[in-house]
Amino acid sequence: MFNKKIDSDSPVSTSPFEAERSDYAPSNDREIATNLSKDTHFKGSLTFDRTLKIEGSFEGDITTSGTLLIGKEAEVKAQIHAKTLILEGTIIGNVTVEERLHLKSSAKLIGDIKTGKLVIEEGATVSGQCQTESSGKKSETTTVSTTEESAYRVPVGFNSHS
Amino acid sequence: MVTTQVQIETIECPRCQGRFPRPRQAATATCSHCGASVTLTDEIMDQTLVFAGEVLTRGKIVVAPAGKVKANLSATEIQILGTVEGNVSAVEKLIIGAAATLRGVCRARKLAVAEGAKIAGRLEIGESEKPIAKSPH
Repeated sequence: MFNKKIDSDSPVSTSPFEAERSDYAPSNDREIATNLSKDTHFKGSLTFDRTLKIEGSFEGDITTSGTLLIGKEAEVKAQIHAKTLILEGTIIGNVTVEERLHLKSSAKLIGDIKTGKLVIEEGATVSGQCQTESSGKKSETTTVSTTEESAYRVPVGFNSHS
Repeated sequence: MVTTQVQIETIECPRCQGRFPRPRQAATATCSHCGASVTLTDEIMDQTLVFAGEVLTRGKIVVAPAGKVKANLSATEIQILGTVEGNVSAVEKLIIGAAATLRGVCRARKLAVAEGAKIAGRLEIGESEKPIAKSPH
């Protein structure tokens, strides 16, 4: 196990994804600074600050104050803490995202989710606990009144528009 | 003497996915496998509703933006635009809108969540997922 910090000047940086950038681009159009390509197998702890795309396999922990992109064929077994996460491949592990978690239609996530904002496209596979937060501060809880004064009790099978 | 012919069709139970016959004209039917009373029309919920049990329909359930529902919901397709507290089970598709709030277990073959939706609970989404067999509520 080892710690590895990758920045934009890292020798593993290849940035060959100009064509895919519009598909992947975070809202502020940051560039993909680093790429772990298909033939890369990484085991350990990874920390970075900007944007990284994984297309190979990864096992360990990922912590970032930036954006993590996980490609279609990538398989990641990790505990992930990220500011933004865009998933097209597979994650097995718990995911904590400060701002936005986007699961594309090909995504597969097995593990618990804790995120600020959540977007799931039709076709994604998800299994685990999920908790979205309001502005990243407080857990969101639903409030449905159960008092007789404010709620109607209706029988099962009620059809309000039949 | 006039005889009326009752047309029968076979439908799938949204709870246990067992197939059972029902008269084509009926508004509700009882599943011969699990005993669930299944509504055969679409449900639109646009007010505060508290159900003691669960809402089972072979059609579609829509919880409107103004809807606040405390119940277990099972249907072929469910669209949540308001607030739901309870287990939600869609045979086909579950759609959660940007202004929706949902607390409970979600099971569906397909799920789409719009940015801004608030979810607290468990997600079981995928082709292999089956509807919740029995919803404790």
